[in-house]
Amino acid sequence: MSNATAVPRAALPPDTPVITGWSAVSPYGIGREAFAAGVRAGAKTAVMADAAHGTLPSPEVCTVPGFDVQELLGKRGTAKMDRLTALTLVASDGLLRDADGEPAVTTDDLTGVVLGITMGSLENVTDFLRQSYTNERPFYVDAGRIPFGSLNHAAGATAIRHGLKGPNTTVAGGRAAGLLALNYARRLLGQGRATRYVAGSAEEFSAAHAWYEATAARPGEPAPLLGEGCGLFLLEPAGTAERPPLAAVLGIETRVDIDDDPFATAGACARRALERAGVGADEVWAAVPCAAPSDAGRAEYEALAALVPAEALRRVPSMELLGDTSAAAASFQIAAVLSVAAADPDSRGRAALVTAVDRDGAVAAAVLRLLGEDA
Amino acid sequence: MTTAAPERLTRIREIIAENIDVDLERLSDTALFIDELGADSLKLIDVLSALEMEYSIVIDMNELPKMVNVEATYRVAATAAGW
Amino acid sequence: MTTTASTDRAGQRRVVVTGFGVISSIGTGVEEYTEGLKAGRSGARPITRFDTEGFGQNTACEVPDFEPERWIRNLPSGHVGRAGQFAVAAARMAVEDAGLSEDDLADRPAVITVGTTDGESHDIAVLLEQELAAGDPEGMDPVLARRIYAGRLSTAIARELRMPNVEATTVTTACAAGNYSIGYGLDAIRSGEVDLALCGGADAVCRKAFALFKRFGALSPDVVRPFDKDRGGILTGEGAGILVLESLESALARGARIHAEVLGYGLSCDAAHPTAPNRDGIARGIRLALDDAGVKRQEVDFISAHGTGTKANDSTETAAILDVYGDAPPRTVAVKSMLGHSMGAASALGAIACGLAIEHGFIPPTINHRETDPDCPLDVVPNEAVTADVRIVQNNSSAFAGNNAVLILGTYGEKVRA
Repeated sequence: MSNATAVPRAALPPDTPVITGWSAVSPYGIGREAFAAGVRAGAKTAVMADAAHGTLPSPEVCTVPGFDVQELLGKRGTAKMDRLTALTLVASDGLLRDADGEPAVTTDDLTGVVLGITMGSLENVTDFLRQSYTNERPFYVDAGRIPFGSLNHAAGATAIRHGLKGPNTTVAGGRAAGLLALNYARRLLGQGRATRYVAGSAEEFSAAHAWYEATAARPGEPAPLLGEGCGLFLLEPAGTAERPPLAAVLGIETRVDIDDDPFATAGACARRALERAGVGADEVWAAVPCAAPSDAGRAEYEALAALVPAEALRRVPSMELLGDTSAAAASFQIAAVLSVAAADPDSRGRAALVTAVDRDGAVAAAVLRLLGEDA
Repeated sequence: MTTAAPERLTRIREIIAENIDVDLERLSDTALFIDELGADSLKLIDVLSALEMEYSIVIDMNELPKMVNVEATYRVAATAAGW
Repeated sequence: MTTTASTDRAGQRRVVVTGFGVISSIGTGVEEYTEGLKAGRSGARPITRFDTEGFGQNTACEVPDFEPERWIRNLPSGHVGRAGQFAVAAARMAVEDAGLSEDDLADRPAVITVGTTDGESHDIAVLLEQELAAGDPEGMDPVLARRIYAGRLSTAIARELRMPNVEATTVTTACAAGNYSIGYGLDAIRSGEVDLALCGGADAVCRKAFALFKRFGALSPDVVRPFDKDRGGILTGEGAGILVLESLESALARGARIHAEVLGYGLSCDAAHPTAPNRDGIARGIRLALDDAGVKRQEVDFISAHGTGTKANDSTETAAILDVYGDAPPRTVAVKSMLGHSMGAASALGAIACGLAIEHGFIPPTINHRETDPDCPLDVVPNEAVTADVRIVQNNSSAFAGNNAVLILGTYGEKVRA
């Protein structure tokens, strides 16, 4: 198979959504460079959990190193902030501001935000309820923490921080949430409701989340190694993009696994996504499954292995290295493809496939055309 | 009474500073929370709830508009607590 | 223009509502809900879901007579909590109302989108009770731990209705989530990618919401009196509203009964304050919705307000309405006076109320009303529903985090914008 030649930007239909920027706050560190370097090195991120988390079902975690909220975001307004919001805001700074903290991206009243999540800050909600149950009166709860417990808070806070007044949406879908968010942005751009989008997904590590995951695991299954972080993308229509596109979003397909057959569902979803994007399975340069530590995750891998060339599945190191980052996963998968592609000129013009399976049954697949980084 | 009033005042000042997000040094007893310190009315609910929890008291929400500065807030808490 | 043209003036695909599913504190199913709205019924009653001792209050608008087994046939036992049961039951009801069988749905591409504020937060509270009782998180029930994530509200509908070929997206934009979901369904169908969408919202009464609004001093001591000078806050509520949205083409092709047309919607973000409502943001949302719908202000027959009954919301929302409509705004009603604040379900139930008002020619009342607040100079249709020729209705919603979503529904076949 010969390498496809790079697709000139002008060849893209003007309404094709393109990714023109990205940022990540991840177990590899804060920022895009740390993420890209970590992915290319295939580095592990698991560490012993901070004692502040208390007793955990599993001692190791993949948390964001050096994530000091007040140092990164300032003291004002952060004392009671939940971790999910903080991760998202730091990622949004990476996407929308330059090294001096000045705006790096044109924004207006039609700049949208869509963030994929699982269930918001589970730490915030469980702390709130714990206070209600254990304090002297059931309404003796910390009012200052309440706003952060709203499932849409992180997206709203991103809008407040950067003055983004366009459609502001939060979607929940666990590991599929990043792709659901991207699809949401694609649709609303297509309908002219926004001129550009900040789209991505986020997950926080907390003891509460770790215990829910451990409890939800089947008897005999080990507590999963959990990760956290936030990946955000700048998505614009190709025709009006202000920056060179890194990748075009050729299509996103979704299904629901209604028969507990993730192999069949993930396979059908990926095939359909490729078909609709006009990309042959043998043309896929990189395929990145979510690598969930579950039967569904293993089935997803098998489904891709049966579909795309073996080298495509080896192109990007396994997302296992980051732990199960749940809602952040799909955005990290896309960021990982972009990281690997940026270091490999052969990637230009080639297709990438990113898939996700979630315990609640959502299955999603995105097909990207890698356009390379123009120096 | 287990605590002397000045100690209570000091503690109340700390609670207010934390909840309206200002430095303790800037928080004089008479500076107006909303007009001078940039707090909004919703922040005052944070203060009210923190005072309730600190002193195991219940403050009527209708007292909220009276809580304009440290002095006045102390008086609202004192009335609710019967100090 | 001909009323059956499948695209509107702007060349967009037309989208209609062919099914309603309702679980509410004033009636389950379209008929009972319609009767409840017309009669101005109140859903307020003592809370049974959780122990309210120590709160000093125990009223909410719970659904009193919910029988999940009437509607849920295919889901494994324990697959969803109360909010999920509401969502799934309302979806089943909506597709039946639309005359769609499981065979009709089957492999059909569709969008399923449920809006929610708290999802299964009641289960999260129960899990915490279990942990506290056991003194150890290992005391938590795995069945509950598996179902607490909000994504399941949408995927459970796909599973129950045997629809694998769908996009199941749960929208968690809090108290505006219902309108967001309907808007997303509209966009998905307009885009031509699907012909069918099941959209709406669901939430269940839970300790989280109750304690939160109590702490904010926003819980009414008695009833909900939106726009009244003596309004004292919200009552928390629950339920689900699911709408079947279809391309007009698809609805006509199968001879479906059409409840109403979805004319457009608008989304705006205040980007200002995490919890306070914002006049400019709401007004911008309304203008965007009217523009998207191609509707002129004077064509709107009534507004179904966000109308929570809090001091802050009702005066801010009124100001925004007056900003857009000038000093002669359409009649503006608050169904939350009857339903309480059913959170993510609220604007979906509001949208269904709008659709039923169009279909049956009435305007639902704002109950518990004594004296209109001079700061809210609106005709709120106090206490008694009125008969009216309703052609175009605006359904408002706002949420914490500065999210506003405004929906416009119209009579199918009498599009004023022709």
